[in-house]
Parts: sequence; C-alpha cells; structure tokens
Amino acid sequence: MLELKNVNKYYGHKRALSDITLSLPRGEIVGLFGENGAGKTTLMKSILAYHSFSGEITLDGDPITKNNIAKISFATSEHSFFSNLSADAHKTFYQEHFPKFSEKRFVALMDFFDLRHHTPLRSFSMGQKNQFEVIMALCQGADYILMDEPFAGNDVFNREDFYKVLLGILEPNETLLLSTHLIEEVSDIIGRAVLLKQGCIVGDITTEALEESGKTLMDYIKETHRYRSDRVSRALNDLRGEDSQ
Amino acid sequence: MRHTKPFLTEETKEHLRGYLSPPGMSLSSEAGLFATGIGAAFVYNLTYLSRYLEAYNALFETDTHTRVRVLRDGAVMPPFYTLFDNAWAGFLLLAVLVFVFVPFHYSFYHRETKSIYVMKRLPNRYLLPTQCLSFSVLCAIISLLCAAAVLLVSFLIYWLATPDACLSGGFFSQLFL
Repeated sequence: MLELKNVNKYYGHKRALSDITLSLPRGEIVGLFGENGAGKTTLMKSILAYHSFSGEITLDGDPITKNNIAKISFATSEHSFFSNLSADAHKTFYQEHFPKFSEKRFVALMDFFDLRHHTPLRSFSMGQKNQFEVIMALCQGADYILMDEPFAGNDVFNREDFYKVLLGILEPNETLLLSTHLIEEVSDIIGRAVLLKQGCIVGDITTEALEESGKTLMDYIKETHRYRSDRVSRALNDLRGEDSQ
Repeated sequence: MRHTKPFLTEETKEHLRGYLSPPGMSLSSEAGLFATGIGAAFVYNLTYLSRYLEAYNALFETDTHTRVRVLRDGAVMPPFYTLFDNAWAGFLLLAVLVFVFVPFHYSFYHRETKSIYVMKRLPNRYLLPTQCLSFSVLCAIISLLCAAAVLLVSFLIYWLATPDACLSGGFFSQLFL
C-alpha cells in the first residue's frame, strides 16, 4: 500500500499541498482530478521524492528510499525518456537498472503502438512520445504506476487504445494513479476518484459508490468543486451589459 | 587471414560510455575541447625548453682563436626548478577547468525532456553523480599525468643534456628543491 500521511508542500510561502492523507492499496486504478495548479503533479513528485515535503509517505510500510523506489514508475507529459536514445536502447538501460523490467510487455506494447525500435525518440511525433513514455512506465516492473497527464497531445483514437491497453495488461497487484483532465474518458476505467482543490483533497469516492448514488463522475466533480453552471451566462451578460453602456 | 580481437569491444565501449556521460550524450565535442586544452598546455610547456636552451648556451663561450665552443670556467647551470618554473601550469589549470563539464552533464538531463526523473528514480544511487563527474575526473587525471610526464621529461632533458661539471647538486636535490 502507498500511504501519504499529513503531507504538506510549500513553494516559498505558497502552500501547494495541504495536509494530504491518502492510501492507495494494491490493485486499484485511481483517477486524480483537479484544476490546473490544484497540486496533482506536486503530489506525484512528492511521492517520488523529487522535492522536499513535510509529512510521511510510505510504500508497503517502508519510507521510500533507493531500496524500494523501483516499485514506483512515472509517466509524465513532460516526458522522462532520453531523447537521443532509441526505444531498444531504453530497453537495455531499463533492463540494466530495473530488475523486474518486463521485456515481454515491452515488445507487445511496441508492436501494438507500432513504434520504431531503432530510431532516436526525438524523431517521434508527440503522440508516439506519449505512447513510449507510458510504455516504459508500464514495463518497468513497478507495483505502483503514476501517470501525470499521459495523454496530453494524443488524438481521441490513440487515447481509446491507451485505455484498452491499460485495462487489458494491468495485473491485479498493480496500482495506477492517473492524473488527467479527461474525466469522462477515464470514468469507465478507474475504480476510484480523488479530487484535489488548492492543494487539499476535497473528494475521494469509489465508482461503485458513485453508481449507487446515481451520479456520474462529472456530476460528482462539479458538485464537489461547487461549479456554478450559470457562470458562463452571467459573464456573457455582464460583458453585453458593459458593451451597451 | 588472422583476425585480432579488438582491445575494447563495442559492448564494452558502450558500457564505459554509460559511466562517463548521460545516456545519449555525445562526448566528441567535450573530448575535442579537452584535446585542444592538452595541446595548448604542451605548447605552453615549450617555454621550459626555451629557458633551458638559453641557460645551456650561456654555459659555453666561443674560443676567439679556434672558433670552437668551449665550456666556460666555473659555469654552473641554474637549478632545474628555476628553469622549469610554471611550465606545467597549463596542465594544472586544465585539471581544474575540466570540472566545467559537470554542470554541463547535469543540464543534459533537463534538455528536451526531463530524463532527470528517470535518473532520480534509479535504484543505483551512484549512477547520476558518476555520469556527471567521471568524465571531468578522468580528464583531470589525464591532465595531472601529463603534468607529471612533462616534469619528468623536462628533468631528464636537464639532467642528461647538461654537462656534469655544470650540475650543482644531486639528482633528487635538483628535482625536489
């Protein structure tokens, strides 16, 4: 289980994460939602110890150190591969450093997405780069897979493929924390939704509980964020009012 | 035809490169800069030869009758260290300057993509510092070895080419004073 207890993160005087307490048991697919700047990326980077924070984050009961960091993988829209290396060179690099790297999964996913094995990744399209980023996160052999906006820049067909692949290949003990703005698209693949607002968790619900309540994920998110559906018409009215004066 | 096994296989070279620089980074421009630095340091080292030749020529005088160059009476060669002076300064300076490659290597993990995220996630905690530091350390060691080599060669020139009568002290006292 990945556990966060009272995690706080400040950037200067600005509080980016506020008292985050969250548990991610094995085998869950969790959607992490929130507006831009809500703290989704900061939360993931705190888990990976990419920056300092206060509070406690444990992985299967132990603090996250170099001894267990290989249990976590990370795919980011910023991309974390080596752009001058080919896909196969990445495979060799990962095999050398991550003992549980799954070559079988790598070959299958490379074939599925029809990606080139021997050309440097900088020559890939944005969509292909995203695909490769996700492939490496899925093949590392990690128990906890963090994905931060992995589909940014992919067309809808590509994304559909992603979702099918994710559902098809994840093992029952693999946990996926998926941060995205594509709420409706992922609502069918996640089992739980965590909502962040201004660095705080404002909602945490299973899709089962949502179904029982008869709400859609989008309804739940809008409600939790106190989204004012009339704000667009109000803004337009205000603008028109200004124009007529 | 007999095939000789190469000293370093491609696989070994790739493996070594993995310790010297970030994955996918070409070392050719840095190696070129370093080679230029070594060349410049060697050129600067020639100032020793110029000083030595000047001092060596001063040991002799030309006989006005026979027109033959003969050793002057009581001529003494200046001590080695005064002639050598700072002739190895180029190598010593280079051994320090090569550490500018360290931030250059580190910044490579932030170029185009954030491969630093993968490096920070590796179970091998030493690979990131190794890839940032080792090329500079290797260059610094080569520079210092070159400095030691030019010191030795310069001294051997001094010791072997100077007439025995003009040497003012023993081998080691000349070298280490």
